[in-house]
Amino acid sequence: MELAVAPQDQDILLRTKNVINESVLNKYRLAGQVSQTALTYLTKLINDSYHLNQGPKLTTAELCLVGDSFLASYLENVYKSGVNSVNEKGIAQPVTIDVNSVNGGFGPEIDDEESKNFQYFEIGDIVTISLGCHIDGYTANLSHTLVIYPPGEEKDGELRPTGPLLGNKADTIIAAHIANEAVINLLGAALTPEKLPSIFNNNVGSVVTGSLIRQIVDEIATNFKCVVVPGSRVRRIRRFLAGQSEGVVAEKEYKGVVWSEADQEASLLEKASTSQELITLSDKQNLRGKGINQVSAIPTDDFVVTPGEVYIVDLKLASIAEFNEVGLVTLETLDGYTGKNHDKDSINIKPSIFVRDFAIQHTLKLRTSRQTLNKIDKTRSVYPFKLAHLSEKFPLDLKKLHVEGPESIKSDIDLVKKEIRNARLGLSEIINHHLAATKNVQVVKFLPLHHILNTANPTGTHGFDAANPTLPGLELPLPRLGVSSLKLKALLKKNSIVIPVAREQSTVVLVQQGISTGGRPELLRLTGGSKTSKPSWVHSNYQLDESKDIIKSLLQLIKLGQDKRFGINIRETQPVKLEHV
Amino acid sequence: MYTCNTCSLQFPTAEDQRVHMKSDWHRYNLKRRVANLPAINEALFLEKVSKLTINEEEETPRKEVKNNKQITKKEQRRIEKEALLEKKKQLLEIAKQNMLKSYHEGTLNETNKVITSEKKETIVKEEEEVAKLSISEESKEEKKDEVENLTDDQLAERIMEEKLKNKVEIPLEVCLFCNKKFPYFDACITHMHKNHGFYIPEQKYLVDKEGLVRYMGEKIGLGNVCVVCDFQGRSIEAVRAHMLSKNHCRIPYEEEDEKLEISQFYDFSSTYDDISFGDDDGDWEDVEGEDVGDDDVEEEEEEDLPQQVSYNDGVELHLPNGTRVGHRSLARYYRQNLRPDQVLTEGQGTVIAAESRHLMTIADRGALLEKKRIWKNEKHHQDRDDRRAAKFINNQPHYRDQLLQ
Repeated sequence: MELAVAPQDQDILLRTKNVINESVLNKYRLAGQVSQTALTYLTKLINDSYHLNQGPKLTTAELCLVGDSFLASYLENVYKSGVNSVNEKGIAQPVTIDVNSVNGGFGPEIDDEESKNFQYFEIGDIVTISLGCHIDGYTANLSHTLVIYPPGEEKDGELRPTGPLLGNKADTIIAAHIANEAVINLLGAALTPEKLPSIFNNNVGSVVTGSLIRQIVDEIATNFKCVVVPGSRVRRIRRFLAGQSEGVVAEKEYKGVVWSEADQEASLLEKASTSQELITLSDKQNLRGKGINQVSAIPTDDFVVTPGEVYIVDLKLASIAEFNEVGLVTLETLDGYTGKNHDKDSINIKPSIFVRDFAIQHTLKLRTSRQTLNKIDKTRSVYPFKLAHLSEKFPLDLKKLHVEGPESIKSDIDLVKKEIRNARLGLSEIINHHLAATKNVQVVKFLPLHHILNTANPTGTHGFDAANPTLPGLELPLPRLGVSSLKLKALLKKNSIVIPVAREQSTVVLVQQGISTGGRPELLRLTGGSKTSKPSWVHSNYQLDESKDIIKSLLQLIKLGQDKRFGINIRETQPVKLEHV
Repeated sequence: MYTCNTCSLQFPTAEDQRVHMKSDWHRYNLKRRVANLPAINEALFLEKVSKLTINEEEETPRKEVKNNKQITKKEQRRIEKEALLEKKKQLLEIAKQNMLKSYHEGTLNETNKVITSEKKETIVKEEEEVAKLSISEESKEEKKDEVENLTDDQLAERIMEEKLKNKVEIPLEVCLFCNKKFPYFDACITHMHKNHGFYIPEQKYLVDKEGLVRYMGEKIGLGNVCVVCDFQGRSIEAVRAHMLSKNHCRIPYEEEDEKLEISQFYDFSSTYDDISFGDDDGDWEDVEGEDVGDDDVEEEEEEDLPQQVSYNDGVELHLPNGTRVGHRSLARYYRQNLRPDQVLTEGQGTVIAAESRHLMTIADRGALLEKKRIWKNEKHHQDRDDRRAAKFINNQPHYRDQLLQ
């Protein structure tokens, strides 16, 4: 590696700057506030156009651009000057609007032709809005899944949906919501371990560990006949390390629970066989640690949540209730190639979000590429970016949009389109030389297990999918069956079925005693919560099985979370009223 | 018993004897014995020695006189002449140094005239001194007693007078060497060039041709010196005869001091631009500063001669104006356009600090070459073995039916 940071600087950057104190907390809080407000803004735009029939119907690409503009223009005015000014602030996660089965990364550029067929939402769609921002590297990301209802009926002077959403989409939304809340309560309990229900105590004592989080999330998912989609994670984040380049950067001291195909494989095998040999990974099969300096870069569940840390709870759940057979829920990357393999109805767009890889250095040949790279390095910090962000006209003037209508900013949008075209030329060279990595658009798919079991696997475990990097140690999706990611990719092409996914993501700060406002340790929920991420009206056929001890204790824990006085102290960051922005 | 027969002494030990043998007294007695004289005792010897040391200073001139008496008159004259020539050489050297000094001191702003006049003065002075010397030599024998009584200044004046009395003014239209008269100066020059080989060097830069010829004329007429060698004639005729016979009719223009002697008549300032301190600066190349932007400034700075070198770190000269000067042999490194050091922002630094990937390292070329060499060798050996094996493929002496085995 050409670049290196001195050990003492490393210590400052990775430890000292991550100690939660008043100023750091303020930055987190403000970042959370901006994200929350942006979410309410986007929710309002969607509600207005789809449910209340007010205002124009914006396309997905426009919504993304408008959302990014909102974040950027809001952030322009904070921590701007004086002693408190920060060098780096901005969008930490460009707005993506993933519909139904899209797992993430769907934020088409304004000039994207391929997303033309998927511009508007249909009734019954579940729409996940993901966004995030950071101030001085202190990041607050969020995701929330909404439901698009049919035109509502008037009730008590208010337009309301005619009925709840039913079916597997409803199951996923409920499961995701409950899982998210449960994990947040669990993290809150890490601040006051004495309040943790006794059933969760393990041999270490009453602490919240990674395996406990996994156990609870898996339990909730099975109750709703859902599966935790690979790529879901509950992870500790640090300054500038909010998981934005997972798979690209092998981050030292990774702390978090990550769900992958391997976990589903283990649970499937558990059901089918009593043989412990099959389920536990032998050293030979376990490929974790290959190509990585630090063992700590490989995620394990073997960690304890401690106060003073910041966590992202990012759970994606997909329902498999409709299938009568066992199978694997996995992700398929959309490559954006056109041709015979793709019909018009299936989503196929090119990735539009990229993240810079600073470890790689290369002098580019094209002038436009160099200019683009310079612009990225100067303005975009270390977070994912879209080409629209590099435009001169970005952020768009949203006031003008709302006062004078969408026609008024058409010329600006045209300019942005033009600049995107130029930057795209430069970007191809940047991507080809791995100076930046793409954030792939992925869809969630169900692959019946018999297809995997019946397949011939002559290459064994040697096929890693380089185009779709994973976290270190998770390169082999099915280590017990010895199926490589390339094999799985090939299998997905014909045999798999697309399934909807719901995603809830929140960022929480575990504030220790003495720093929080009340003096008590509290869990500061930066994003999500009852104000912005209220679950849509859905009814599921399933519910939590209260006969189980673990569920009982879980409900007890959730009740504690709602008890302000004696329970777990959870404080939510509220959005700013849109009229004030 | 140890004895010394020469000095008729006895010594108790061998050591004492040895010390005695080395002493001056013993040596003196040895010499006396050779001359058939009796040995003297130590007291007498010491007395003699002390007498000698006292009288030494007084005796030396007398001794010299004694010596002089021994050598011939001819030899004596030769010695005197040599001494004189030596002195003259020294004087000429001093004159040249003065000239050089005045040349360097003379700044560019001053008019050429001033410089030339100054130089002329100095040169005339030197000439006079040289002339004095030659005169003194001539009249040495007659006025030996007088000269000895006179002081230096008086001597100089006298010599000067003599010289000026004997001075022969050579007009410009007259040939320096054969005293032939011409109607005008240029005709005279052509004559001297064609008949005597009086070639005037670097005519392109010659400013004062007449001055140069007049200077040469003075050298011959006043100083009675050959223009090429150190020959000094007693009269102008003697010098001319020497020059014609030895063909010393050219202006020497090979060594630096020769060039400097007549440099006052030349003006080489038009050539300065081409060379432009080439001697000092030629081996050094300008190193580009770290900023590419201030190229123009640097070019301007190049014009000025660096007044002093701030310091030399062994590789580069650091000039006071901030320019770094490196050696030409390293030009290929200076010509490289290296990427400026990347300054990481905090975010980039954090990501790099948290990074734990192995990135591909550059393969060790040496190791790779070694490996390739081994592979090649192995292949070569294998081929050779195959070839050898192939020789014996079909050498079964008797036919064997495979089925009958």
